[in-house]
Amino acid sequence: MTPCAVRIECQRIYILRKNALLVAVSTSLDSQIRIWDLEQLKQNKIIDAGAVQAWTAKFSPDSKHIATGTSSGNVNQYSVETGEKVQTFEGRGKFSMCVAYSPNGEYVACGTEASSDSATVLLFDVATGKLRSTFKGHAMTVRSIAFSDDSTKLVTGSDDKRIMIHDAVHGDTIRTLSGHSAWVLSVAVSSDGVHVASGSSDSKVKLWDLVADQCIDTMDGHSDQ
Amino acid sequence: MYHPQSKYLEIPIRNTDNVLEIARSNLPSPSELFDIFKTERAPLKYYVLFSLEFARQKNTDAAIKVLVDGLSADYLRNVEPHLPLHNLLACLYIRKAYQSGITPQERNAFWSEATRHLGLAERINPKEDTTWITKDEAYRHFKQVLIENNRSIPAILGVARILFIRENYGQALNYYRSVLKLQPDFTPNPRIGMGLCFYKLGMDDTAQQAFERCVEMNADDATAHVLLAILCFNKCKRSDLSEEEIKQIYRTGFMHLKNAYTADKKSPVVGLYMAKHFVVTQDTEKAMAFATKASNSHGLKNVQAEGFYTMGRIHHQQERYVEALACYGKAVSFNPENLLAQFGLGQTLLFKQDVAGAISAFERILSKQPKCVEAIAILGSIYSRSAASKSKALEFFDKATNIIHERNTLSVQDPLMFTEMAQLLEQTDTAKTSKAYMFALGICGQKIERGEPVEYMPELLNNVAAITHMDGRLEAAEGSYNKALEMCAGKDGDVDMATEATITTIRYNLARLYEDRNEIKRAEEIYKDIANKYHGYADAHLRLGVIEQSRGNFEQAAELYKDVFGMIDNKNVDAWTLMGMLQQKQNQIRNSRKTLERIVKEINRHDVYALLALGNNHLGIAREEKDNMAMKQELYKKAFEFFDKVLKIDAYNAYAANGIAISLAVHGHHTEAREMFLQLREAASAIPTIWLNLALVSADMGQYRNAVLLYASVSKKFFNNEDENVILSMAKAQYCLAKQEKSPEKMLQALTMAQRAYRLNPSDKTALYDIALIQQSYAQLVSDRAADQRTVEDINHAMAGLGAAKGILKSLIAVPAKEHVYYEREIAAQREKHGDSLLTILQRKLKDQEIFEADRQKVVDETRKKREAEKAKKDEEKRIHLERQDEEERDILERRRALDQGAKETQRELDEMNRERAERKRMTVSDDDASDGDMDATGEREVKKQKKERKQKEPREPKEPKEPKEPRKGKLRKKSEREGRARSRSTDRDRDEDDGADDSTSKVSSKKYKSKENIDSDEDDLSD
Repeated sequence: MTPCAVRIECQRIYILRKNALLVAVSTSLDSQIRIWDLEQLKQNKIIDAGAVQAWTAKFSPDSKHIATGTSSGNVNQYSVETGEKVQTFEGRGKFSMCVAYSPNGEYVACGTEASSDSATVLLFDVATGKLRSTFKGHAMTVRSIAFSDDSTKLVTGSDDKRIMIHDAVHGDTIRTLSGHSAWVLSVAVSSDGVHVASGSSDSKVKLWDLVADQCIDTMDGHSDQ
Repeated sequence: MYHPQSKYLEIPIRNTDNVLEIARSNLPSPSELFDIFKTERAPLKYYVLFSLEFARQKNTDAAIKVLVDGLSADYLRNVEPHLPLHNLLACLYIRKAYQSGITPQERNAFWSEATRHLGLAERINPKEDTTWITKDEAYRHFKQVLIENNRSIPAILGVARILFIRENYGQALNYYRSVLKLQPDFTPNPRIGMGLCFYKLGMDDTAQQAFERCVEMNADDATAHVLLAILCFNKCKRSDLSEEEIKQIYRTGFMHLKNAYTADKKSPVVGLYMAKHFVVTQDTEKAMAFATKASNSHGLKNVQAEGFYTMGRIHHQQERYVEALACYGKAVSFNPENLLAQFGLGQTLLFKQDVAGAISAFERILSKQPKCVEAIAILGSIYSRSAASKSKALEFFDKATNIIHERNTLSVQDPLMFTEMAQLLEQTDTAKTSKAYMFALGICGQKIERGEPVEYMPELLNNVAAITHMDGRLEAAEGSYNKALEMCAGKDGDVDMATEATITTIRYNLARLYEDRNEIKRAEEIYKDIANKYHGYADAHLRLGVIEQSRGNFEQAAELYKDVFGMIDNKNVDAWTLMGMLQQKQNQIRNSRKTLERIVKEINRHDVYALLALGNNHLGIAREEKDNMAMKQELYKKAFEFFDKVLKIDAYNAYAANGIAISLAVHGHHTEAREMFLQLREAASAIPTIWLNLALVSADMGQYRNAVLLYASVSKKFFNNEDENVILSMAKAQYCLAKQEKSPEKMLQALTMAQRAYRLNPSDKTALYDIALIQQSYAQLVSDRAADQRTVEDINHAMAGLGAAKGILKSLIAVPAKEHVYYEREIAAQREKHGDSLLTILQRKLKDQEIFEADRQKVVDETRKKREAEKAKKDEEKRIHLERQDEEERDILERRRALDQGAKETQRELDEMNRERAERKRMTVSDDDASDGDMDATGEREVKKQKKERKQKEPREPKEPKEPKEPRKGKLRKKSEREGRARSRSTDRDRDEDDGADDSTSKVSSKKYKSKENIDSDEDDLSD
């Protein structure tokens, strides 16, 4: 596989510093999960996930596993070592668009496509593989998801232009941040857990203060999504 | 009439056609004449006629008598103005005053009479021509008198009066002053005239003092009292006074008025002001009585006009518009310059729906007072009522606004004007609308500050908020809505129906705002509350339905819509429309069509929205129809009809025009359709559909590149690149472009686009199918390319793509049959097989390509080798060359060093030689000198020859040895060498080589010449 092919076919690439080695995992339409060694720029391993069954992939904090979101709505966990599927978190049948591990490794959360009858954010317990909490509230597809560093908060961004902050421990939604005028495509939490940054499809980046519960800055420098 | 030539004067006999002829030569006495006039009720002009005849016959007294009789004739009282009589009398008195043989007192008396009549004439109508003429005449005469006797008070007064009428107040004042000096207690009191002058000159306080002095002198001076009263009343209109002060002044004014009334109960002016006072105190009956009296004061047009105006106002206040209109009409007929009466007339005409009359009344005001904001505003308001004159209305509103800006005050304005203006602007200009609303609000705010009640403040605020809301400034709008709610809540006591309705409206708007801000829950709560409280508030139900629909709860949404047209209002178009759209969304196309048809058939035949939706609905069905072509055409035709209907209702409806253009396009008239879309885009660039259609029709016409560009710009401009279908359409256009141009590179771009679309909605199987298709097409294109235009890498890439496509197609084929998909499963299966065969072909071609590339590589390698060998050779040569050069340089350096050494030695030798020679010289001087000179001459010649040779030879044969070894001629040799070096530096090397070669052969001899050179060059350096 040439680098050119990666550019065209990969949908999501996640990079992780593992044992001082840069490793990346990528998913593509041919249903292959590829693990890359970024220092030697070569492919370490290919995991075949089955047709259209690997939309996004993320490393677990201990780098031993990879979680992928699938079109069936399940989240599959693969072992990096063997490439075997080791666990399946049962979703609700709706395409899971984004996946995140909590930094403490206890939870896996996913955001799904919009649906009228079920929640769009699911939180699983990694140890038991069971659904721990569901968060209703987003009216449209959830495209981005992120944990705070202390693993207590879960931040989700959706096509409904809103960002929601959920309590991962108690399973309730803490607040909703409205202000974007287009889809929210990415969210990230600052290491002190006070700020949230979000990017939207109209090329704007907003910075939110979770204490004051408001947008403190809007940046408008990008020219494309 | 009066014919100076005829012998007789005629008096018409009452009730017959006959006339009484009176001979000019035999006029009856004035008293006899008066009797005749009285019996025959002769019109006033006959008095004038006979008076003139007497005057012609120089019987001034008789002339005067006739006129005075005429003025006192009872039967003439109500008929015609006495103005000409007064003017004539004034003239006659002036004539009398010029009679000779009268005493100064008598003369003065005549002047006074003349002045008095002039004044009366003026009061009737100061602008009448004859008055002016009389006055001019009088002025001339008065001046004449004053030349003769500058103490003639009546003449002075006359002049003053005329000057006053000519608005020359300063000079008039001076004349009045001189009267005051001459006779301070003269009646009429000159102070009145002075006061009037002061007043006209804007010195109100001085005027007041003057009038007060009159009152002091004569407490019964009605004129002074009434003038004082007027002054006070005018003062009350000043805005810088406190309420208490105004009341005080008004009271004083009224006191003066009362005094004036006591002094002169018949004075019409006093009566008029009494009437006005009673209007203020709402004592309608008394006011009406006085006003009626004033309106009957014949001969004083202004006063009559004012009287009628006041009557009109009273009627107006009591809403007796017909009477009011009549009174205003009379007032205006007496004095067209009475603008207030004009205004009242306009208002009442407007009430009577006589719009044209009202407009002309207000226009008349504007012709006199172009900056009368009230009239402008009302005209604007009138024009705003009809759609045709909207622009005119706006013009007027703009004018009014500008004037208000100029004056920089809102205090006297009616917020209604701005409200009307804003409502007018709402459709067209949001910025101006909100500005107008802000004005209205500002005025209301000032009114509230002054403690005046403002009834519609919350509504106004609501409208402002709605404007800001629609403008997208949600925070500001929320603030305004809440403020409006607070105001409603602030109203004490029971909340009346109207207020409650307002509150509901504002809350509904607030909920809409929450909805816009995605705070659906808050919005929902309000809607639910409204729906519970007022079941009939259909909009709240509908919004709840829309919310449910957006959540995907279609059943609940449908229930809510049904509630509205089922239980609240069966003719609620919005509800039916929403229902129709919902059904469409649920793919219940036929039901949707039925619902929409219901709107058009049963509720509103001209409902543009429903008609458009029906048009689109038919278009949609037509597009889906794949088998029955006749049916398809029929559906397109129907769609076309709907759009056509809309265009007949609203000729500028871009959506309908868009539909028509689509029909054109589907019938194959691409060029026309494209032209139409282009025009539409120009006119309604904010409608994305038009752009999309333009792109589509461009693609249909094979202008794929254009289509791709259009899709890209639409996607970015309208959809934030969020719309999957747009991007997928772009990918399709790009796909066609790539196929057309047989370009795998462009196909890869199409792939990127399709993947982008897929990423937006990963559960969309159409995008996946397209991706597989594009992958295969890419492989096909790569396969079709000539071997030298592709690489192994390309083929590998294509094969990998085929693999991915196969995976996708497999998954697509595996989709359960019950799921509706937009691709044919069999075709997908065929595609999969096609991919397999392509793969086989590519595998074979890969081998060929590898061989081809290996061959090519070989050729390339060989060529490269050859090239490299050549290059190596060249390099070697160059290297050798360089080495030699280095060597030479080294040699030169060494030789230089040696030379340096040699030079020193030579110097030493020379020194020694010189010493020796000096010693020898002392012995044999003459011999030595002669031999040296000869030697030099021959040497020079020889060198010249050599130089010539070298010039030709050197470039061509640089290696030729050139140094003749003649140590003796060292000095000369050196010269030639220097020249050679100057000629061409490039030859140095060669020469130096030679030098090097020389070295060994002539080591000893060279020493000398080199040293010589060294010395010489030093000399040269010096000379340079």
